[in-house]
Amino acid sequence: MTILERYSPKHLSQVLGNSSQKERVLSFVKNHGKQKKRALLLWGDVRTGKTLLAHLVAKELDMPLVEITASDKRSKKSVNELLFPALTSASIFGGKKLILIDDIDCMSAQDRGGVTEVAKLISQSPHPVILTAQDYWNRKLTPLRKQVSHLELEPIPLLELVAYLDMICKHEGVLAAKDALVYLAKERTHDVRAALIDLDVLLQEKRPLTIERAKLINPRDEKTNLQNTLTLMMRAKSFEDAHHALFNSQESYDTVMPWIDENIAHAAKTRRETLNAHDYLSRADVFRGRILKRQYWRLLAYVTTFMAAASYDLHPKKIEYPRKFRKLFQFKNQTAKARALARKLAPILHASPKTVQQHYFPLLKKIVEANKHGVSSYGLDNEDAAFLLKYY
Amino acid sequence: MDLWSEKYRPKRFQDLAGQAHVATRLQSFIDSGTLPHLLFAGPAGTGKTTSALIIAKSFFGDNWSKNFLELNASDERGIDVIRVKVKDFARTKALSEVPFKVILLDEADNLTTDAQQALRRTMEKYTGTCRFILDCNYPSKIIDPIKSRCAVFSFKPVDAESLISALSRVSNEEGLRVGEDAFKALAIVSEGDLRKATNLLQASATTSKNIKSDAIYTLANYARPSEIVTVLTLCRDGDFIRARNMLFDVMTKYGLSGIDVAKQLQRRILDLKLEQAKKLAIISDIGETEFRMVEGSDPFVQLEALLAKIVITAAS
Repeated sequence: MTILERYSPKHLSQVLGNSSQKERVLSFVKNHGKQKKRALLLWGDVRTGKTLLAHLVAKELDMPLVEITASDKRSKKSVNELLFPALTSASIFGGKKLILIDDIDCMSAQDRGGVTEVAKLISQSPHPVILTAQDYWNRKLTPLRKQVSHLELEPIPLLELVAYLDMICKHEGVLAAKDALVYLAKERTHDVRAALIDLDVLLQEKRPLTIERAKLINPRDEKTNLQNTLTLMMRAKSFEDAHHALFNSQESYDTVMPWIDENIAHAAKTRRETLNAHDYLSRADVFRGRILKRQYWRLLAYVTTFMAAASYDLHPKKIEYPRKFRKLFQFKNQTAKARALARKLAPILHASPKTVQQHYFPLLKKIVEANKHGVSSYGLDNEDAAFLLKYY
Repeated sequence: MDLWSEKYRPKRFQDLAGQAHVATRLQSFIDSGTLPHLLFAGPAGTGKTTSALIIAKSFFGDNWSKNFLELNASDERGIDVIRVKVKDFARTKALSEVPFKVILLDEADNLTTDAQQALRRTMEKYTGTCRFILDCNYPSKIIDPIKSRCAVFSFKPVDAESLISALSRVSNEEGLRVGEDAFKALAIVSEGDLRKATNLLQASATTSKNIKSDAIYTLANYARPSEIVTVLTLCRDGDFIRARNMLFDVMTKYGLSGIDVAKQLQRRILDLKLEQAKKLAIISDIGETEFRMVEGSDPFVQLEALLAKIVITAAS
């Protein structure tokens, strides 16, 4: 048995983190039928344990679990075929089941009508339904949002994961350095499953686990490749050399571009250097746009050449992570909520969502500020009003 | 709906502000009961959508919403979505004595050339059961085969006189006291955009029923993200990294497109303390950047290059 099998949680109480969320899922399933909403949407990043939680809740309450996963085809028809037996057999045996519809946001274009059909089934289902998704604000979920209550799962706190790894090492009788475990937990970005798999490989040899050994086992390929490519490109003496580095890399130009973009200004020694590099990058982007618009891929040579021109001879001390990615993640919920609100108001105002966001949000904020009590006549509910106050 | 731009949206062509040349001709379609495909061109807030709504309501009366479909080219990703929606809408017969339904396609100039070609075929296919009204800001971005199938109407920025008379109707109904200079201020900052002017009027009425011109000017600045000025100031003072970080945050937060930012920069540069010649050099660079954004793929990459250039120009 692997460590993963041995130590993955078997009971709800063993699940790391998300303790208040566990309680809410339990009480949702127990009180099904007494609540207004018939389904619960668990959402959060990959590896936050959405599916696991649903499975263990079913186990805890001793309910059979009926599961539809992303590998099933989920068009209107197949949703019906898969769920129908589950729904009807209830009347024969009486007991309740837990229905899990996994990764609802992964329904593809071929699953046409699937989400709407799921929404319909939820409204009729005598059983509690749990859905999982990565992002609550995903547009595909619009038909569902009114029907479900939702709950965000958080990644496992670093220290909790480290403590867990530590416990396993002790249990297995292997001495492990704290920094090695922190490294594993961090490198696997708080992913319990991945960390356990790594640990399994590391504990094959019954030797003390040091940070050096941890680093050996776990270089994430994508990162080293990218780091290498960037370093080679930015240390190159000529744009030809930088181009060569990009050409020989396994990274696509699309992956590399934001990294160059971020690092120009940090590495450049003079303003003139910053300008020259950014100007080359802007040329690269122009050719990229032309490719995308016309699907004329021969232009790719110009994109990569000008990316190389933007990057060579910069000699960064350290390669910075693109701030853009961090910020986009930070703003993700906010922009999604703004878009959802704009889309809701657009038909009422006969304007595009973009116009609503730019021309009406500032006005609506003023109105919300002035009328603390009634904003419903402006098409807003309390949640919308709070959002406008906070972010605009 | 208590938003005034909606509440006081004109219901007859006689009330349409500042577009007399268009209104009489459109009214004649209603009188004769026939309607060609229409192309409405003109800047925002000049009455394009309003005219389409007036047409729909006059043709279909109380049933108008069943026979009128509003689509947004920039929002409904891809022509396929539009085609499906149009098909579903067009294949049933109109619920009135009028033999056709009306489809309004807003921001049609945001469709790519390929999408417009597809739209043209869709228009031909359903021409028996449907009339299309296309809205756009720039008619030059609409392909000729579509233009040749439509009667083209150009909407002009609403002139100050019509704008003020429309606004004074609103202020009378709402019991506001608006000074003459406040009306003038509204006309100036809205640049012929009646929706913007109405929104500004309502925004300033949230604080006082007594509308003053300085309140309008303050609000007009408020409506534009003031961070843009800070971005420019940071550039002038040579802090490129902070400038570009701030710009990225503003764009993400307010959902501004690259072109929106270029427009703002171009206006705001005038208020910056800088020599005339440098301002002109920067404005020319903004123009070049806007051109590159149209061709390119990531507007932020283009704007970064522009900021780097402003840093150099300001320091030279």
